[in-house]
Amino acid sequence: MTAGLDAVHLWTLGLCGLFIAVTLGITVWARRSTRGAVDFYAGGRSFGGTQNGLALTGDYLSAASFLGIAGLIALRGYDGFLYSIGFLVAWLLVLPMAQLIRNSGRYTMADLPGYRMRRMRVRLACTTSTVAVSTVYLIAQMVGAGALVTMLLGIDHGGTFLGMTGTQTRTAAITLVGVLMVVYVMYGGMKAATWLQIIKAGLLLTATALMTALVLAVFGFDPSALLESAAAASGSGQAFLEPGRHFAVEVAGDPVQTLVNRLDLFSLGMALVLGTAALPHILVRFYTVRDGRAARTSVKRTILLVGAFYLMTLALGFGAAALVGPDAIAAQDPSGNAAVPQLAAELGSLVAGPAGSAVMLAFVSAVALATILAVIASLTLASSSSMAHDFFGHILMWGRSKESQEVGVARISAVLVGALAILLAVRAQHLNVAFLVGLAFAIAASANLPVIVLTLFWRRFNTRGVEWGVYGGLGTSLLLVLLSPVVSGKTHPETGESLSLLPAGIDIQVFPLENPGLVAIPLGFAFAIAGSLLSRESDGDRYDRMRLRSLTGIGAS
Amino acid sequence: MPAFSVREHAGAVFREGEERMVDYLEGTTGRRGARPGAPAAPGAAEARFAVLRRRHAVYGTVLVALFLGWYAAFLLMSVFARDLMAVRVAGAVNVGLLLGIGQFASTFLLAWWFVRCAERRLDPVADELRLRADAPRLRAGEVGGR
Repeated sequence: MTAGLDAVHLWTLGLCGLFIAVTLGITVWARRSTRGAVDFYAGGRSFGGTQNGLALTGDYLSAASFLGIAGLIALRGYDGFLYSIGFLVAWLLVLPMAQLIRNSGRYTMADLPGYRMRRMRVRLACTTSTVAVSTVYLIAQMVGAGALVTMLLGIDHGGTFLGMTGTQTRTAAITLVGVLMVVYVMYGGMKAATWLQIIKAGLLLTATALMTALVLAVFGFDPSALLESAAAASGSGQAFLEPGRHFAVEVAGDPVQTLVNRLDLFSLGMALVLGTAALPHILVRFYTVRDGRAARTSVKRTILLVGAFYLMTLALGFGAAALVGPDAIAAQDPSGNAAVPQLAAELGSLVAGPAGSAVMLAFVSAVALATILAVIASLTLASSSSMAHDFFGHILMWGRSKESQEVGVARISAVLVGALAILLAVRAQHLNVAFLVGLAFAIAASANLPVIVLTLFWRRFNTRGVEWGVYGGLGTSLLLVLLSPVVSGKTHPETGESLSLLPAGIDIQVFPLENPGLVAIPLGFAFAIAGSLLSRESDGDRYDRMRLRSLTGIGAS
Repeated sequence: MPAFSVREHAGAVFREGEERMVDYLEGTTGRRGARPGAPAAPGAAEARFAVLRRRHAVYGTVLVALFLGWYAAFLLMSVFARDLMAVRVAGAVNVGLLLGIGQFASTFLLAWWFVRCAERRLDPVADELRLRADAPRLRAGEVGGR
């Protein structure tokens, strides 16, 4: 077995090295063709609808989607499916807004309210929320990268790799992906980031399609046989294929907890559906295409690709349950993140014995690492663009900065954001940070979405509304999470061990839900509306100009 | 930023043909944006823009209402109608799985519908307005939003 594992490691390292070499080559090319701000922030607006659709798919499908959802389906059955449905339908909210966002802005989210209001305070608020969402999401992804590497090397339960312990390997992995993402962004800007996403999306979809085809082939292309077999292997029979084993769990004799569990599902669903349209690294991607129509086309393509991907994760999840078995999956990683690599190894050995197993496992591991690397590069780019364009360009330099200065600052910001993210992720590497993805969506939905929607559709919206909406939504989300069971007060019913971030002794839990969306999103909108009404400022002329531009593209950049 | 620069900026942003077009529309179609001295409505441009706005609002609202309602209904059923979701239809496939797949199908369908409506009913009007505005596309570096 040891010899086999070594072959896997060599293959994995080789494939990862190949991916890194190709993407660094693209970065060098992108560096040469990146001259001004429009190249750095928006890739020269030279990408087509289909290319950008692939890149959006790459941006959106993080390791949480590839490993997390399939793992959840493998362990909990049907309820993992609820997650992927939320992630997909969210794109229908993006579809009608993509064209308007593209036509009204230039480089960052702050350009939207900045067009109507021209206040530095608006830029500051938008930069704050962009950096907050990106950092939260970055930490989740980077800690995930560290955990993934130790898991793939098989040293997460002790043991060493090249003389390094699990913690050292994790730190090294986090630092390595962090440095790589900074290099991509610093040198290649949006052009490199976009090609990185396109390659990654291609690899991810290929790997998923290949595994789906193999799983279905094993069961004679009969989905019912696959489901039957998964249900039998799960040990809970038909209930495995029905809702209620993970979300909205009914606790017998405890109506309060049952209600809380139900509300938690709605809270998460709301954050997923409303957060997607306001994620900063998704928003900036609309500026990489020629015009509003191309932005709309790219969302149409994305819906198709993301939908196909999530349908295939269904086969992966149930396939892993049937072929690997929930016990073996949970033994390697209790949250199920190992399900897809384990399934890959199983499928490979069914096709071509031990060698096939090693190649498949290595391929899927390399794809998973590429997935993480691409997503964090985009997040870093989104926040460094906002820091350079909004904070430096419009606040520090009063909107009179030179393009070359702004791009220089964007590169430095990428280093700063990268360093901060590496530091935080290394500190948080042993914590259970799975809730951070849901939190990032909740912050995006409560702080960014009200600003975007009200800027586009409400004439009376103004500077104070933007400020109240962003700071109110952001503050509410963070406060509610701090007081929620994910931070403190949740203990294992039998062992008394803490299931929260803080140790068992500390209990500041007041808010019962794990995801703040249900409360924070309506409050974000309420803050934005109240703030606007409490300020006299109102500029109908600018709003009319913006409407004309957003719908027709007249005067759009 | 001092107040005067707003106007200054606006002057730099909207030039020639576009300025005419915008003022033309602004004085006549804005709900409360009408300014004294703005040109009276002589032609059809502002009416066409109103059509464009209304159509986008209708399609967008229908799309969002349908998908949010259907998704909420699905979540509610997965919580409160678990017996129904567990009914087996064919082999191991139950109602819950079919409804889940239905969410995918409806998403594809709604996206296709919206894009088709946009291409047939929105884009031609927008093209018409852009032609009338007679505004050459401004160079990226000079347009507002900075």
